[in-house]
Amino acid sequence: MNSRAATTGHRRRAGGAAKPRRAAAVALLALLTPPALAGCGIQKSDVVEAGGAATLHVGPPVPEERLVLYFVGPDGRSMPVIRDLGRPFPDHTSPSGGSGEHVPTDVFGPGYEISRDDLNRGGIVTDKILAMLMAGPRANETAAGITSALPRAEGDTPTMLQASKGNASTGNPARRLVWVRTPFPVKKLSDAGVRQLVCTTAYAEHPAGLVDVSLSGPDGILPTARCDG
Amino acid sequence: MKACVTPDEDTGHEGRGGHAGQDGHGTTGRASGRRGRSPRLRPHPFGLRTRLVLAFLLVAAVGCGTTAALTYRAARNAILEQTQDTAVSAFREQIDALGTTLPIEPEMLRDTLMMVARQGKPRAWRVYAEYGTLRVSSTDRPTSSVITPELRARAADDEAVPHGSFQRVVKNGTPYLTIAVPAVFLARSAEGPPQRTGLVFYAVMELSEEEANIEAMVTAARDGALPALAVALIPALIAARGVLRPVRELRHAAHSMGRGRLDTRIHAKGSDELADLARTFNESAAELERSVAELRNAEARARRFASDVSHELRTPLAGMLAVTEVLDEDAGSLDSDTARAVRLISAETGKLAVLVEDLMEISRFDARAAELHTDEVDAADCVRKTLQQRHWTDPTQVVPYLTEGIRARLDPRRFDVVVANLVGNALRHGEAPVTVRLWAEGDQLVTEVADRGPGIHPDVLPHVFDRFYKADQARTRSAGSGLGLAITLENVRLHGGTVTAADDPEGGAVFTVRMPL
Repeated sequence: MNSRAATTGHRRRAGGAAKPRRAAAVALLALLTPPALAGCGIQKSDVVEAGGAATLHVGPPVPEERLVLYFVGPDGRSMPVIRDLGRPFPDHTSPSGGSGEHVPTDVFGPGYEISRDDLNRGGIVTDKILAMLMAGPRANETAAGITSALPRAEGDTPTMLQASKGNASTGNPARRLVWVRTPFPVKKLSDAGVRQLVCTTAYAEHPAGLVDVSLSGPDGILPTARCDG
Repeated sequence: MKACVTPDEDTGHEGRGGHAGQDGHGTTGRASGRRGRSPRLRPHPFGLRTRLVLAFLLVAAVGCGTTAALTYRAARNAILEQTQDTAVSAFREQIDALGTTLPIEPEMLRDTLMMVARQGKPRAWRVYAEYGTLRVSSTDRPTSSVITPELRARAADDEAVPHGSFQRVVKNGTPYLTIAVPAVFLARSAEGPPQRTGLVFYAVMELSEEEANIEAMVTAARDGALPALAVALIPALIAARGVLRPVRELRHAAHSMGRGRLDTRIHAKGSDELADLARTFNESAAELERSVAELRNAEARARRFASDVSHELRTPLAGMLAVTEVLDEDAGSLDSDTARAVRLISAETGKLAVLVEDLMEISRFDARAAELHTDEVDAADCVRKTLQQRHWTDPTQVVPYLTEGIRARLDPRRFDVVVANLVGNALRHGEAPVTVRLWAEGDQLVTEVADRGPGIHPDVLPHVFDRFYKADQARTRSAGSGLGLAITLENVRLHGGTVTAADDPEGGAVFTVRMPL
């Protein structure tokens, strides 16, 4: 009785030893097969970065003769639009340096014209550009889903208070600081709205937008911001 | 035809010198009979050869597979990388050359995209542009379902520096390369960082040609691996042969030893484990041969001793028999006590003579010196003669039922001994009447001797043919020598027949002898 139990136990153990070996072989095969099979064909991949962005030639008009206004796209991101200085009657040949050229005034009356000389000088022209920004996107811009995050202009528009001294031509860290005063509270503005004001002001004041902008409203002052980076 | 006579008893001297030779013959004969059913070449479904070949093939398959897989992966990645890099840089270059307005004018942009779509590199692509809510494409559908939200999110991501990106997408089994390039512009001067336009260009290119190339590589890898496997079969078979040949030799040798050829040796060469095994086998075989030879010698000596003793006893016994015969004749004239003693001596001397004769007979069998002198005889005639010679003619004692006219090839003297021993045994241990039947069954001659006695006890049945076996241990002396049935058995065997003892269900013992005709 006892010996028989021992014998069966032994036999079972012997069978058990054979089974793991076979199982090990199967496991080895199973381990080796997937890399051979799974790697076949072309697999989908994650998004991979490759190179920089493409730089478009935007125009007309030529860069020196355009206004850049920042609006907001349907996804809440900044969308710049370019407006012409002198439509509908551009007169580049005028000997007076373009003093007769007019920017469409949208809702504003005469006195908001911007000449090419004004644009290059900065200063008072920035107020006019900001007024244009406050007027909102035009019909062809709205058609592309472009909106404005700023409150609609009612009476007063943002005005540039003063600009600190700085050397614009060297592009060096000593940037100019531009103060802009808004008639509406600035602390309630969305990020997109702040960026609209900052970038529009920056490109109005400097061809490469290299200025610092500080917004102040009836409710206080926002930290200094810049449009690039 | 020759009349069936009981020949003179032969002397036991013949063939004493031929022990060893006869011995060998006997062994060989028996072994050759066994050879037929020995497992010679049993197929082994998972034998050494199969396992070795499988192991080789597995190793080769793993090697080939790994190499092929690694090569394949490297080549596939190279193909894909080249295509991707070419496509991405070509796409960006073409976008770089474009001009547009802000906000875009869809009709103009569409014309531009059509132009870009015609210049796909390395292959034709479909071009899409997304600007705000506007969707412009070079195809008749405004946007592509292949472009994933992840790619869109990455392209529009304005946290980081704008950069191009691509993604491989598999849709409905077709692989596509999707490229996204966001467009930037220089706002008012070439100085300063470029600003996003909000415009993103997408290109979608089918990778079916790359897939075909990669498929071709898989085919090539497979076509390379299969011959490699086939080649691996050759060393596998050679290795299997190298292992299997010694094993086969060993099996043949073991088989040959089992047949009694103890001088079998294996040619052990080399220094591997199998050679060790062969040497061990040879040593064991030599040892076995020596032991068996010793045993045989001892056995032969014992037999010769029994034979010699019988012979030595025979001559004095012959003299004693002659004297007791004379004394028997004169017993009548002696006083009664002396006469009884003389008759006792005479009877015991006769029994002793029978015992010695039987001993000599059995030792001839043991020495395999017994020879068969076959003759074609009438079987019924033989049995009748046996019964007549022994004076078993009383129908109340012995009743013969003999089938007449059976011609059989047998040794008449030995057949006589067989019948006489069986009938004598039946008369001694069973009850009369004893029936003797004789008939032919197929190609066998069947002789059956049955008595009306108590039968054979089941415990005794296996031993009835043993020498000096006493059914009743208390009965120390019996009328017979105790060798009768043993001699019967040997004689029947010599004829190539069988003898069996059984109990008749109706009572009595039945001995059946079957001998080939």
